[in-house]
Amino acid sequence: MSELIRLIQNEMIKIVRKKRFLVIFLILTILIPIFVYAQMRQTETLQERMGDADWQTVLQQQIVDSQNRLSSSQIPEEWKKVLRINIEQNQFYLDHNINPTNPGGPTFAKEFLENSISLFLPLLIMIVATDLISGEHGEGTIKLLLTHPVKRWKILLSKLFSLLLFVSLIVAALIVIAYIISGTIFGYSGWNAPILTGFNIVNDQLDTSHVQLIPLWQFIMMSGGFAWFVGIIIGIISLMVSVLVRSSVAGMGIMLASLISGTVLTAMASSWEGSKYLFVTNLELIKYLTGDLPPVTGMTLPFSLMILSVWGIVALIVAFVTFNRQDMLA
Amino acid sequence: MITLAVKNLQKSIGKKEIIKDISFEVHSGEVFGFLGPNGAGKTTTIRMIVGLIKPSAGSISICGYNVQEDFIKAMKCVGSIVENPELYKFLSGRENLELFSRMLGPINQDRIEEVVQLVELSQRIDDKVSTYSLGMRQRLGIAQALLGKPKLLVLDEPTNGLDPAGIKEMRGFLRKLAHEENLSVFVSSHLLGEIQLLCDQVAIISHGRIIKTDSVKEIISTEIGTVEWDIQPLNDGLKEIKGVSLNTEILDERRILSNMPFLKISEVNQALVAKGIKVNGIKKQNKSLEDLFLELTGGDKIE
Repeated sequence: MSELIRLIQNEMIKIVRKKRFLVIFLILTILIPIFVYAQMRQTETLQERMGDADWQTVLQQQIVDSQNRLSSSQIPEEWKKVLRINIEQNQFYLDHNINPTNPGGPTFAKEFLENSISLFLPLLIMIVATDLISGEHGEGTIKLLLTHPVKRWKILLSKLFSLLLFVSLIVAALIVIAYIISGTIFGYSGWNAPILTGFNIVNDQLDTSHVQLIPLWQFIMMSGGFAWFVGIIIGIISLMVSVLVRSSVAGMGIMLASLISGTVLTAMASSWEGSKYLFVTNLELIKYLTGDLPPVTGMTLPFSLMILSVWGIVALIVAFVTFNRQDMLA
Repeated sequence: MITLAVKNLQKSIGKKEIIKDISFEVHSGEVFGFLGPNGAGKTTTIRMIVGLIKPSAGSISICGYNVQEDFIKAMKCVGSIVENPELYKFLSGRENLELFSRMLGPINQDRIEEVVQLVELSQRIDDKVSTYSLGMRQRLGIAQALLGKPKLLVLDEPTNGLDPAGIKEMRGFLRKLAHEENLSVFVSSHLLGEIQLLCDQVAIISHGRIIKTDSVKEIISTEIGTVEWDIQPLNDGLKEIKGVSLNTEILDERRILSNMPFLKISEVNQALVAKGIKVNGIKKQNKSLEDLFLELTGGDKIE
């Protein structure tokens, strides 16, 4: 056990000192301000469109509208539930003096997480993960690593554990940096703003029977958990590629190609049902919380979690078996 | 004590047989040379000894432990540098040693200090490896190999890329380790001169086979070598020289290189003089790997 801890310590030193992690922080601190600026412009345009109307008045009007529709007998019971939740949500904004069109730091962090889970976050993780083994091949240090009295599977396990730690750090950093930077523009409050969740899509119909309001911080915790899970699966698959491909550049190319083809597929896959078994089409886990239509009919949160888990487990087995048997040729 | 025993080692990669049949033994306190041209299978054999590649057949044991079955115990007895001393360039020398010390057990600062002094790297040990010269990297590589107090040191072409002063230093250092610390040192090289100066025993490998294992003294003191003749006119004397040579090479209108037994020199000289040919010079040359191969294989060219 203590041997494994020492090995993990070694791997952490390598990742940190190789500065790849620094690159990730730099990417985050450079790109997030750009996204914040884009969001700010969008908000401004939105507010311009609303004209001089006070946002509180607009909200009040919306609440009145919803109440009027509620009293109508033609509306089915299910819809009424959604309307009631809508009223509740708007009332909260009014009571707590939150302008819903003007996002706070927490809202930005939520949106950013939602938009980065399928491509941006996997890319960041891939930068660290594809280098773990192939980097040692490139530098020639694999020979030193594997001629010491340590079993090969323990070396790979220590790399896997340090990867898990870094995935957690990257996900946390993404949320924290997004919050801190966007907060300077949008303010730091709003953790308790209510968010609608609990949508189910059954046979192409939106099932709203479980819809509920949860505070934003809870929603971010849930999305963060999903992002962490996606990150770990992407990390494990990258690790497998790193074992199979001796060159870091080739490994990154492979991961990049699969991730990008994933976004393309997600956009056009609805007619090809088989694509739902690929890992790349199952990355949009947060969309299940917000009730967006999945890329292929019939995909649900448990389904996606299961597909990702299967990919992760298979990749782990392939990585460990190959690494243990592989001849380390020049 | 036998520190390294290789028996009937074979390795095929794809359909190609790279190592056909290699057996030898290395004893403690000796510097063992593994001599052969590039591509003969030296590095492949070394990679099998340190467990980077699995043999197709045959066995390797280090201090009595089979590398395949008892990997951990076998590796505890061996320190190695395979090909170039590639260390983590983005870390300092000391951090590299700490990294490898952690792989052997709880970090041992005293031992690190010891090996750093042994390879005389104390001045620069806290600098990044990327700033080291090749000689310093080679020394850091050896420090790394010595960390675990091995019984066997395996070095692949240890003097590659070193300047003459560095080579001389390395030689003295390795001999000292073997003879004073009773280590076995296993060294590969494609230079006969190198092996001659450094080793006690030598195994010569060609095309994946050991063609001879002997003490260096035995191999070097054999009586065949390259002789440079300077005669006029050259053509008249060619027959006499070619008659006793394994191989000849005409250099210019007066000089010819001949690979021949040294004992025949005076005989040829007499015959030449008797034919009225002017003998301007006879020069024995240092024996090269090529000479040795000619001698051992009876004229087979090395490829």
